[in-house]
Amino acid sequence: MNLSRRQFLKGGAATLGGVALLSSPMAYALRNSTKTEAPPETKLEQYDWEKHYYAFAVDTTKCIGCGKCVVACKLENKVPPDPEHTRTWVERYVITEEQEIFVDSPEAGMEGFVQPQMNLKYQGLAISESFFVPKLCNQCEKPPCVQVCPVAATYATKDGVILVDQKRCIGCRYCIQACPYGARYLVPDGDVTPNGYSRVADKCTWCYHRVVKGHPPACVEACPVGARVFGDMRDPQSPVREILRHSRVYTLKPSLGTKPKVFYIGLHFGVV
Amino acid sequence: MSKDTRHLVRAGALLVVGVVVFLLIRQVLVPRSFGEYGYYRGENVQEWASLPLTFSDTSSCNQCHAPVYAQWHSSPHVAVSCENCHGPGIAHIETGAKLTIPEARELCLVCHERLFSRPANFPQVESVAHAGDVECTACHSPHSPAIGGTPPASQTPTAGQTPIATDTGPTSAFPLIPHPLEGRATCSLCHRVEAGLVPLSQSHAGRTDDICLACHQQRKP
Ligand code: HEC
Ligand code: HEC
Ligand code: HEC
Ligand code: HEC
Ligand code: HEC
Ligand code: HEC
Repeated sequence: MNLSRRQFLKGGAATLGGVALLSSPMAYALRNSTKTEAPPETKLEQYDWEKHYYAFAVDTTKCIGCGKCVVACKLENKVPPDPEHTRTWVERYVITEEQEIFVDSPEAGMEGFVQPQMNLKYQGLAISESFFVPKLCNQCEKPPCVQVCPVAATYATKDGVILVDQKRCIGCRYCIQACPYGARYLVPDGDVTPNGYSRVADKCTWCYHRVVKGHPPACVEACPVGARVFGDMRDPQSPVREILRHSRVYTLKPSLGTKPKVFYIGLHFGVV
Repeated sequence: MSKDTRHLVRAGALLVVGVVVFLLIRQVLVPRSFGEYGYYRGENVQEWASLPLTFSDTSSCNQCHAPVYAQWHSSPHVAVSCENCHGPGIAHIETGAKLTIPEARELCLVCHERLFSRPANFPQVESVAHAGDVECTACHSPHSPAIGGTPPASQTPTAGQTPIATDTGPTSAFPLIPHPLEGRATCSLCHRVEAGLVPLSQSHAGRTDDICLACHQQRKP
């Protein structure tokens, strides 16, 4: 046998190519892999994730700070009840005549902002402007959290939602550090995610289980003033497309190049 | 075998063994659906997608609560979903689990207490000045909060539905009091819901004597 160096390398490369093939993407349509139990709704089978690309809009000029979105999110997604661990929250911005900016989010906004002790510190200030800003995961087009995960436990779906594979997640918190929007948290001991895991990263999924079945996310459903809008960029009739057509929108921290898919109406430059 | 092919065979064998071992380990460690759609476990998408819902859609409440639904649907509260005030409804619909009747005052004020951060065009009240200690629901129906608004046309409960108290009175806003008030402080002597000398409509259910004058003024002589 007289194998040249070139042939040898070729052979090796072919073998490695074969290995690489094993991990190549195959079918794209969402496959029903939980065969043991019937899915809750038949609509899920007909769902084609290539036909959707979701986006979200927040109209800060409408938000009344009732915090019902935070409450609904926690109930829908079994998020721990305490304000520190939360998938969404409402911030209050108070801007004085001197353009001094105050930001707070007592109880993550879920009690509303009505208790007297929540308003004490603003007494006597000359307030020029004040408004509420609901925050949630921006489901970035260029998500830093996905990049840093060492075990490929977080990823973007074809329809544009960043999910966490909590079975693979090792709870190292890199993604929590990497997110410039503070949208992730570590599920504390004693609490479990809807998938049944503890001490793993968790985040807003835009209620993926609802939207694939044609329901809006729980926070959108709960908003009494239409400040939260959910939509599909692939549908020209979608309310989000309508907003992008008619309003001036802004995204949070655009300079980071993360390309957020949550668009804000009526933001003040002080909002970060 | 010549001297310079033997070491190639050995290296080749080593490579083959290495690849086989790698494949075996990979088979064990890498989950079945990894890489199906991208660099992640494909099955996980389905795991998220098939989680059960907790909140229903408000239209589903219409099936069994048509009278309340109709009232709510033509009120300013149409923007506030039933489950926003009563909590998630899937368990109630599917298993008959009880929903909460919320403590109204706290509930209302989360949205309606006057705050400097709220948009000015949203209806807000200073609760203490507006209502004192009186329950909001004494004057406002949660399902049709505007006072003196037009009640919806059809509110008769149909067979199989829970009968629910509805607002069916006439609609001239705040009729003036045509008679003197001396000696008539206890309005309920003569005005009771569907009873008394001059009966009151169902909209007055739960309204007590101490709040009548908040809405009714005496006609100027
Ligand atoms: C399948 C029929 C059905 C549907 C659908 C339904 N309900 Fe009910 N609901 C009932 C019945 C029957 C009762 C009375 C039973 C009882 O008092 O426990 C009731 C009672 C209630 C009560 C009063 C509970 C109490 O303690 O007095 C509330 C509030 C309520 N429903 C809200 C809702 C909301 C909100 C929805 C929509 C998400 C809804 N219901 C959908 C049948 C239904
Ligand atoms: C703004 C909050 C709010 C909304 C929205 C709301 N409710 Fe209620 N609901 C209440 C409150 C508060 C009570 C208790 C009334 C009382 O104390 O007189 C109540 C009572 C009820 C009751 C039982 C008592 C009764 O009046 O017979 C039913 C049934 C009910 N609601 C169903 C519904 C349904 C169905 C919807 C949606 C169409 C709805 N509610 C929307 C706040 C709300
Ligand atoms: C989740 C937030 C929310 C809750 C809770 C809520 N409301 Fe409302 N309410 C609204 C919205 C939204 C409107 C419509 C505002 C508009 O038309 O701009 C409204 C309208 C009203 C109006 C009519 C104001 C007007 O001039 O048109 C009254 C009165 C009212 N609510 C009273 C109540 C009472 C009483 C309760 C408690 C039983 C209550 N609300 C609970 C959100 C809420
Ligand atoms: C004694 C009766 C009474 C009580 C109690 C009461 N209200 Fe009112 N409320 C009224 C009347 C009368 C109006 C004016 C209605 C109109 O113009 O249609 C009103 C108006 C409102 C409005 C609309 C304000 C606006 O700017 O349009 C809101 C919101 C409201 N009430 C909320 C509440 C809340 C919340 C409570 C409980 C803390 C409450 N009310 C208790 C009688 C009452
Ligand atoms: C002794 C019995 C009596 C008492 C007590 C009484 N009323 Fe009357 N009220 C009447 C009678 C009788 C009428 C209708 C005759 C009339 O127009 O004078 C009437 C008419 C009214 C009307 C006009 C109804 C309409 O259809 O326009 C209002 C409003 C009213 N009363 C409010 C009150 C209030 C509020 C109180 C308590 C402060 C009160 N009344 C106490 C006997 C009473
Ligand atoms: C929140 C405001 C409000 C309060 C409080 C209130 N009313 Fe009325 N009242 C109305 C309105 C609006 C109408 C006309 C539409 C209707 O009947 O609902 C009315 C109608 C009436 C009428 C005419 C008969 C009828 O039912 O149409 C009488 C009599 C009356 N009220 C007496 C009273 C008495 C007595 C009280 C105290 C127990 C009272 N009202 C409390 C708003 C109020």
